[in-house]
Amino acid sequence: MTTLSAIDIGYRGTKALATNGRQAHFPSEVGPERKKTFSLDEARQDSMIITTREGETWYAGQTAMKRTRSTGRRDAEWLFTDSYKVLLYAALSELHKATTTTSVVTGLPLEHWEALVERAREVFLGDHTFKRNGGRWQTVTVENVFIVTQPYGSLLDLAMTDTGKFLDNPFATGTVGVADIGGVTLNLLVTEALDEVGQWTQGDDLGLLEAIDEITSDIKADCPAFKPRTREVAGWLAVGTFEYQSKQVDIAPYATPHLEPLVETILNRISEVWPEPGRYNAMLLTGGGAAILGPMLKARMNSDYANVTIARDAVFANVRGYLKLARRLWEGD
Amino acid sequence: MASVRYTFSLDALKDAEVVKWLDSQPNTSAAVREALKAYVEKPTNADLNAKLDDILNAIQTARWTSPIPELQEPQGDEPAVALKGFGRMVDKFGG
Repeated sequence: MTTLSAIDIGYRGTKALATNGRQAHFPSEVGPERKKTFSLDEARQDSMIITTREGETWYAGQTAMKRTRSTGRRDAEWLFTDSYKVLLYAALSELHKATTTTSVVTGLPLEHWEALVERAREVFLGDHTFKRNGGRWQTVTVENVFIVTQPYGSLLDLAMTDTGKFLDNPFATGTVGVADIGGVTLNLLVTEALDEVGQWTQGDDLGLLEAIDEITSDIKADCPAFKPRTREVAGWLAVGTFEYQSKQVDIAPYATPHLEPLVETILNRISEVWPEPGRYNAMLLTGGGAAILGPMLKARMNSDYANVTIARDAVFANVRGYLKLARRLWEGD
Repeated sequence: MASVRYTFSLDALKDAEVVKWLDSQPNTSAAVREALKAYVEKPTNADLNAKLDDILNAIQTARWTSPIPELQEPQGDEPAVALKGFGRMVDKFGG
């Protein structure tokens, strides 16, 4: 039986799961090879160095973070760049250790699905030949690809069992609002028994990464002796402090002014898109941003909306839903 | 409490900075213990990235667990309304 793959290449992180039990999660960072010689250290198994059939070598994930100062673009056309292709190869190399064939479920941001889906299918379908860490050439052939809008991933994760059967719960049978809060996108989706109700669906360029960028700028302004990257700052947000000139600095004064307005903006957008809270059987908050802002949002929404749920393990929720969908679509083929 | 003793050498030139720091400590053993502990416990980039996805810590507001629906295998048939909706979903996304 063909191994099925679920891949979610986000602006911030790449997540992937396969029916062979393998999974991957690494930063969506890509940078060009720094030098042409190949050291033993770089060839370590946990390195992520991808050589394409064109002979170009790239660092990806943590390896890119350590070895290059990569620049990431964050617009829709990113899907068609070398960086995206390298991230796809890196994900495939994590899921499949040899030449093989697979079928993939993935997702696109809600607002770009219509415009990009045909070209995106071309990106995924066909032979992908690469080397990982200077090893042997490997070809992963994607024979089928099914591309949904990203919020469907976490919805299906709650609506289906691991084997891809539908549950009798509000997510599968009811009217559900899904707020997918990503690094730069806020996707709001309404479904009735899994069917999208288009007129209440809205995509918008608004999200957490923008707030983290602003926090980064404020830190740079106050601490001119270093230039932290957005991802570093996000890590500091996780631990609550950062080190500057050998001193631990509390990040809250930098973070709060930017995160609180973000919550307010998201709530306003939600109330515009979903003006009748009583109409919904459940509300789902998902995406990396839900892991960060979910509790604040849920606290504010609880009085108006029923069954406000923060996706379990919001990082993997989408890709887990994709894998369940893949099983439903292709298992048994 | 049983203690374990380690000895190590420093190069007076190469490690001058460390020697200077050690000499300035009122309690050298305690300082070395704390420094090593801090180094060992310091989160790696991978740790930090994992935490990036769990930045709840940074928000510093009330933390509470979201009720998660049970995802058990359905006892009977799958809900017909979900199957119907799923069919429409596949039609839309499958092109």
